[in-house]
Amino acid sequence: MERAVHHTIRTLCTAALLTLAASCNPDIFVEDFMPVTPEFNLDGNGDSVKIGFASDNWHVKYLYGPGSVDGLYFTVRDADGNDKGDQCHFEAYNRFSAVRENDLLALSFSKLGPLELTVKIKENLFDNPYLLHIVAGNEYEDRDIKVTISPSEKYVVDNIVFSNDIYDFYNVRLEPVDEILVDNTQSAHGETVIYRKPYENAHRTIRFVFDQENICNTVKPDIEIEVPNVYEGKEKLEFRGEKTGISEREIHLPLTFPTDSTFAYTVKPGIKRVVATYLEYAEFKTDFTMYLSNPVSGRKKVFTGRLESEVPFASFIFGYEPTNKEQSTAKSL
Amino acid sequence: MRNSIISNILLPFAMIFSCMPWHAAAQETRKIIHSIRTDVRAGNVAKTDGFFLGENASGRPINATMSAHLKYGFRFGEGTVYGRMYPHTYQGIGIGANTFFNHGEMGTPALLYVFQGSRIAGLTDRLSLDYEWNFGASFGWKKYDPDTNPMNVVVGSDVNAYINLGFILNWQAGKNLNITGGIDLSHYSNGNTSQPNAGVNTIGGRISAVYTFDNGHEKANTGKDKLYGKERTDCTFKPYVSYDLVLYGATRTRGVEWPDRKYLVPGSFAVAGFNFNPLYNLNKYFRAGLSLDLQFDESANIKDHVAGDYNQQDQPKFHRPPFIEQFSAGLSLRAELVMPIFSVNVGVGRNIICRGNDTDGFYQVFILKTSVTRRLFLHVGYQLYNFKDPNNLMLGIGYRLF
Repeated sequence: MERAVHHTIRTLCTAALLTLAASCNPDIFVEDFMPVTPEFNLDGNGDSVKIGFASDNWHVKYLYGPGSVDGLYFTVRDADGNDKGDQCHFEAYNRFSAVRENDLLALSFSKLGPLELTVKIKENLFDNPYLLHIVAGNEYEDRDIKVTISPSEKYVVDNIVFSNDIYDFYNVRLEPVDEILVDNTQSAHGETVIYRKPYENAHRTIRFVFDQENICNTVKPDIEIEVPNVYEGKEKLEFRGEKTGISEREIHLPLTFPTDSTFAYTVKPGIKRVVATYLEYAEFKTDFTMYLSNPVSGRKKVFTGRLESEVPFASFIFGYEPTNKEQSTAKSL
Repeated sequence: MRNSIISNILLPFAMIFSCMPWHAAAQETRKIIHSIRTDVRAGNVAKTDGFFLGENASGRPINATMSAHLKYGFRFGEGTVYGRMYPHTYQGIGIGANTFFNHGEMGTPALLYVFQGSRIAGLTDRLSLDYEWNFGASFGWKKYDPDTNPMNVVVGSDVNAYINLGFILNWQAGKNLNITGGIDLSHYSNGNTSQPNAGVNTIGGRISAVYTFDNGHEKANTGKDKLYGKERTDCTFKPYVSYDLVLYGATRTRGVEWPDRKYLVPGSFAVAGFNFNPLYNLNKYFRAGLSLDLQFDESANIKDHVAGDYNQQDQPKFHRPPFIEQFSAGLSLRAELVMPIFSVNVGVGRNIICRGNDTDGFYQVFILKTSVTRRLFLHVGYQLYNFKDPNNLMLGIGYRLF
């Protein structure tokens, strides 16, 4: 009888435990794929990290950088290597790799397994650390994983090749330097001679117009390159040791001849004259190809564009009778 | 809730009354004295919720309650050890029907329960002051439903536990007839297995007629008697220490409350626990001791582990909290009223090892232990927090070491 009681009790306990187990509430719980959200600091010169996840119920949603939550675009390939084009949202892909190679930030990331995301930095050409946000999550929650990427080594110019051909050459543009009103009417016999230095404040102006953006962030700031010029107003490109840094802004270079040359002009007695000084400029454009390399990563870049130049090569001083307005407005000697 | 109560409480009692060795042992030595009892009870419903105050479909307060009961009881004859140790104790099984005069919203639940009573004090030769408790299930409630029963916010399931305690005057009107009458307190709830669970409480009076079969014809046993193989020549009680090991489980619901939102989490959560309770048996009626209480509650502290923003989801999801936030270990002081077959154990305790608001607090337990064998017992209990917050049932088995 006691055995029967024990058997009954065992059966009831088993039934109770099974009931208990069936009563557990699995639909309420979701795995926490990342109990603690990590942060990473990576070296912009090719560093990488493997981000681990506690469970597989997550997707990479999007990545964004500082200043905007708009997603960064990456070129996506699925696990079979099929090109999926440029994407900025990645929830549709379970196993994939993505690469970004444009502008100043180059990196790649890949999700090839359920518990791991690999991020590899190729370069960060911004001058400051770049805070990359990787948003991973599921339908219930997201995690914003911060990856700070230090600036990488800038590029050096291996070589710049200018085209032998120049175009848009023009050498008859006159630019006024100054005008002076000389009133010699009080002198009956004496001439007035004035001296001008037309090149005193003159300079050559060049502009690098690049086909690509961000050259200034790409190259080291102290880079100097030799640029060609036309001389004596002749349509012929020559290298005579003129060097400059690289900028996307206008660059003023000193003239290659003495700028303190003095020229005289005589105003006869009894007359007024406006003495005008002009410089004559030669302009041209020529294309170039700039080859860059990174001394740390070994990556290479090619920038193309055109060099625009204008340089004074001759001066003119002449006088003319002033108009009534010029008599009142022109600078007097 | 229906399955929990039926399978864990009532079936074992049916087994007990038909198969248990003490029953057979008693019949081998002296008679079991049988009785039939009828109760009529009337009372007031405690106004513990606005629903009873008039916030219901009828717009009137729910005041009165009335029930009728038919019970089979028995006590051990004087020729048995139990009969000599507990001469006035009776126990049995009863059925009843209860009305709250609001069938449309509350129903007219039927009752099925076990009961036990005994004498507190003899007043005269024929009059005594007795107590009786009932414990079982009530069926046929009309529960809360947002469409069909939206105002009943006190009953969350159509089966609820039934607990009753009465203090009654017992008058022996004749050799086989007793008339009893007294006050009566009842509680109905589902032990937090469903929501809502405000519960129904009543207080009132009862009057009963008891017919005892073959009363006074059984002979006193002055000789040796055997029970469980032990020879007992008298009823002298020597104090001793026993050790109760209890394993229990239950299901429960959980509501969470954030600063700007309350949410009843769908489904039920599992609770499991273990008690180690040394008890000093002071006399045949009373034992007390300190209990080590371990419990795991699958729903504890989930409020602090929401997956994402709870305001962005109609049905928020949760992360499973760390084990330490769902496990608690506490110590409680226990006192136990010991009777044949049944013991009533109450305790007050505090969790010592715990983390999180849901487990960090004082708890109270109310337990009915039903002896199956000399060492095995069924364990039906209920745990409260801070004397007012329902926590969970405690349904399991226990093993007693001497």
